[in-house]
Amino acid sequence: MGRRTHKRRGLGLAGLLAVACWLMSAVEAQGQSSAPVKVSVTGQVPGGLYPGAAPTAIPVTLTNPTGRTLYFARVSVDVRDTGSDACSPEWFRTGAVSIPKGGIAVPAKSSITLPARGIPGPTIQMRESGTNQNACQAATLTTRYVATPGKGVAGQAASPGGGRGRGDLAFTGLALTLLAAAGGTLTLVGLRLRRG
Amino acid sequence: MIRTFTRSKKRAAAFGSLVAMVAVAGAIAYFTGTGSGTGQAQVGTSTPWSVTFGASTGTMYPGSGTSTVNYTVTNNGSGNQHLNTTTASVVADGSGNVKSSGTPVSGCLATWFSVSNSPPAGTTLSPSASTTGSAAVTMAESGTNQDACKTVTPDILISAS
Repeated sequence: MGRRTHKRRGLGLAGLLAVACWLMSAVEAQGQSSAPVKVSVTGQVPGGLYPGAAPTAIPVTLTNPTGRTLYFARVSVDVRDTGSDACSPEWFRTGAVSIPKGGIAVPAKSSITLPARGIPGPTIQMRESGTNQNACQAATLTTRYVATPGKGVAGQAASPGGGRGRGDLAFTGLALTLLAAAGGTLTLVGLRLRRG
Repeated sequence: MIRTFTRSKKRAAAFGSLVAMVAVAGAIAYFTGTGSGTGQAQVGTSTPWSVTFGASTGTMYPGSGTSTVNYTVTNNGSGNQHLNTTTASVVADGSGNVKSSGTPVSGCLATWFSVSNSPPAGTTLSPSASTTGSAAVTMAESGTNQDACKTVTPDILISAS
């Protein structure tokens, strides 16, 4: 059996590998989307807000309805409406919480409420404006919570005491396609170098 | 046979490496999620000022003397509150008699007494903070029998706003 035969077999295997990877990526792409997944974020400010009072930490619950663990690197709150034109939203100061090391994991089909794992909730505070703020007395503010994604960290527990799920490091369909292309290209380049 | 890389082979190898690096970069893709929701927050309301009195000093008589009492205004609320001023007056029942410790003193008329208030300066007080003022009370000579007021300590009302 000559060298040419080996090369042909090698090329054939490389081609099969590329096709297999492409098919895998196609199947994977059908089951998941690379578009961000929407999760529910709810919060309730405990007690009332008063001019000049210290910032109040807000317990915020992140609910992940998907079948994969999701990571969040930042949770913020802002005041959308005060219910009165005379009650200025500027009188309320909010503080987002930034979560280091890739974000906090919310396991699949479950929720987590901040503060948790040493991570506090976002804060809200009513500033002392130095002016009459009576228009805000007894006002019910509408607040909006936003959770922005994190990248996740290998080794971070998906759930307290639990193992890591498949979604911890989930590849997207695009990623697998690129992997297939890379594998095929490297194989072909290697064979061409040997033949040359 | 000794084979060496030609320029075209090196280019091919470099291209292959580039594709591999791009592929690896693309492969490090995590599922991410975005989330949002709305909630509510309640703003509190103001809390009535607390006014407490110190011991009075001095004694008043019909047509002479002054009894002065210091008072303290405290913010018992949970947030800052602005104190504009205070007013002071002698407390009377429906018949015009003064009250002493909440009890009307028959025949001792509130109109015989005057209060000169020295209010604290207008200020914004944080929770539990306080400020002080004083009220000086004098008794007028009515030209009538004022014995009903002997040893009486008329109640003084301080209104803070």
